[in-house]
Amino acid sequence: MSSQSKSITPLSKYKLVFLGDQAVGKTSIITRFMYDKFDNNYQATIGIDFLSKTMYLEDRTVRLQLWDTAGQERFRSLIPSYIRDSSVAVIVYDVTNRASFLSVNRWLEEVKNERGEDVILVLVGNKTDQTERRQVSTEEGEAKAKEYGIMFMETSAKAGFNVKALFRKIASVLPGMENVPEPTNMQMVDIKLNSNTETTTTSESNQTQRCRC
Amino acid sequence: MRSKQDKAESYWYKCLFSEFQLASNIRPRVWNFFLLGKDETPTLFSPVRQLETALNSLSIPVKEQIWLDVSRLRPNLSMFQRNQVRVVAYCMLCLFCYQREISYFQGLHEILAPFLFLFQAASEDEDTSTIHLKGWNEVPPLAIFSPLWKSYPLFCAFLERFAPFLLDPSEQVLVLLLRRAFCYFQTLLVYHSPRVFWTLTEAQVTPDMYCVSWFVTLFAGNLNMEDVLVLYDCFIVSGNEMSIFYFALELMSRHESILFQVNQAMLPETCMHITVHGNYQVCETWLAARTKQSITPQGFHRRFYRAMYETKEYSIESTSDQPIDSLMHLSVEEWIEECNRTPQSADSSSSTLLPFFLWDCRSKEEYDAGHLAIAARVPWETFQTNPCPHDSMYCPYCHPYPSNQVLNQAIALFEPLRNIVRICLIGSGDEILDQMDVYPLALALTRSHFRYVCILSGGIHSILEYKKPQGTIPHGLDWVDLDRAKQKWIEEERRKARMTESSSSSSEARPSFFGWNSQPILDLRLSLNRIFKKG
Repeated sequence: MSSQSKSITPLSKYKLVFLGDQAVGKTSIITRFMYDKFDNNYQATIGIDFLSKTMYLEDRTVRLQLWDTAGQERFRSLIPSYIRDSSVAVIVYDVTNRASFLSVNRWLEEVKNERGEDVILVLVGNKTDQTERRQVSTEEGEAKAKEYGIMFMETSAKAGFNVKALFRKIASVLPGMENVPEPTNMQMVDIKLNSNTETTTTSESNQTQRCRC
Repeated sequence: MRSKQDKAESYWYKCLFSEFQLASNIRPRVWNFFLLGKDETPTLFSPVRQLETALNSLSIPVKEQIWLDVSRLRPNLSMFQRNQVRVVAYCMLCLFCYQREISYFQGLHEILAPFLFLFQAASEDEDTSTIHLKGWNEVPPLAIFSPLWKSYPLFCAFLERFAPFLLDPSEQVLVLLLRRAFCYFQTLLVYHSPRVFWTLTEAQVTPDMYCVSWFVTLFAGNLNMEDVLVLYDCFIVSGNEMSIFYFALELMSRHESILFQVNQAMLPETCMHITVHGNYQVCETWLAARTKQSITPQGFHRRFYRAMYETKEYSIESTSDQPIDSLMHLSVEEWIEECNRTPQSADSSSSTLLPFFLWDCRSKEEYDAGHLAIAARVPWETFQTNPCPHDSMYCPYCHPYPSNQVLNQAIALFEPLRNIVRICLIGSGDEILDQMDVYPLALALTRSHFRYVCILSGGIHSILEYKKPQGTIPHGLDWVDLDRAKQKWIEEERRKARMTESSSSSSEARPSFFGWNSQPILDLRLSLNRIFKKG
């Protein structure tokens, strides 16, 4: 806890909800951001998963609470309650899967219905490393983002491309962050829970560790 | 047959809880006996025809989804990295969805995993290096005769028995049932672990955030494989479907100290990752869950069971998604049953049953105009409060809501009973009057972390209207000084006073000595209802 005791500025908490069809890479993006690693076989997210990351910026501490939702159709009616109170909605599609891109409209509607204009929307095209399998061009993604007036970025969680940049960009536009310069050399601290069910308890919940970002 | 089943149940129950697991070589046979009633080791099931039809009838995206999920199932276990296991799992899930006429949902694959794992040894022997998926509709011939298929009938029977709520073809009904489970779960939580309930409620952490994976994968997605097998041993040998929910409840209670320590912002992920490890812990948690089940009012338990497992009610209620009040409400019949329940029942764990106390929360005047002989009274008028113009210590006209000051004194009165008795509060049954006495007190007690608090639904009115079953005189229904006309008059006066109070004075105009500071409690109640109405 010693690393936290230094912070004088109040802690701002922001909820980021990740939406998108199944297997577009929501969990991968989050894991890349949190732990800077990638695995080809993330287990399917059932319902929802949560991860928090505290970012120590130049003059403030920001805690990002990442809500990783399940993309599957079957429990989609649970999703509106997860979108509630979110500051940011990140809608992810897979650039190698056109169907997931076509679903973006529906996800956008879902967010608008729940949050109206009180939310920062980000469109993310993931899996850019698979160039030969690409079905959705960058221009199409950009056009869609422009059409809805939202932020856009392409990422590859596998290659680690643009993931940190994505979160930096999000951090810079969070409400109350307008006057803060875009963080460049920010320090980040993981507040990590024992997400691995193979180990014993959750008592390490307060453990803090420096991230490699 | 029944007695054979009972005998077997008690035998295997003893075995299970002496070793805290069933030996892996007898497990398939025991599961086969309890799930399918067959006293033999599971036999091979070869669904050639049906599988072909199933694979042809499911759409490609569904099959792709199933394949994707089975290929990332249990990445830590080598068994599930083998292609033949994945192919068989894929075939099973396709067949299951086809036979049950349901859409595949993520979580089903997790539940299948322990059943496949039962036959791990058999599957290792087979020479099936050639099994792989060639096309979405093609049945890999060798996959059909894999010994893993022995697990399929067990898997089907297990799901149909323990989680029929997951198998409804309609997505709407499925979600409705899950929501219902969350609501009932909240009630269990506030009854057994009020401190956990309030900690989570204040952080706006609701069961739809942390229970989904528990209820949708029946814990298969949350525990190590060996532990899932032990938990399923407990489920299957006891035959207790509801232990799914009580196990979840016990998981929360068991980890309450972590929940109280952790930063509020970290609560969702802390709840998400709550689990148990090792066969001993699993069994211990399951046994503690069973004790919780026995302490739970049986009427509530039955209602929960009916709501989740009696399919006929699904369609009737599916249109009205009524939020269930978080507090435990009992009907008159349920209350009488609870009152008369004794620890001598066959259920050994009910020896922990606590005494059951009925507390009348109405004003002294109402109580004097008729009350139940067994009901104790909350002596509102004796509590210290700010002076009132009517020169009364507790004046229902000046203090339509008990102030925090008054509530704290009421709680102090209950203090010696904390967690050692079951408390049932009773009001008049009039919605307006109940909001002035019984609800604030019930909420205040749970907020002060009193366990086992419930409310008699409909209050005194419902008891007066209750028709005793012919030929029986239920214990607890003897009246003292009953004067219904007087009671009605007093209630009417209190109601009028309340209405005048709320319509004539704005909050600024209220004199401070009225002690009107219980608003936070009422606000909490409203916010709770809002949480339940979520979605």
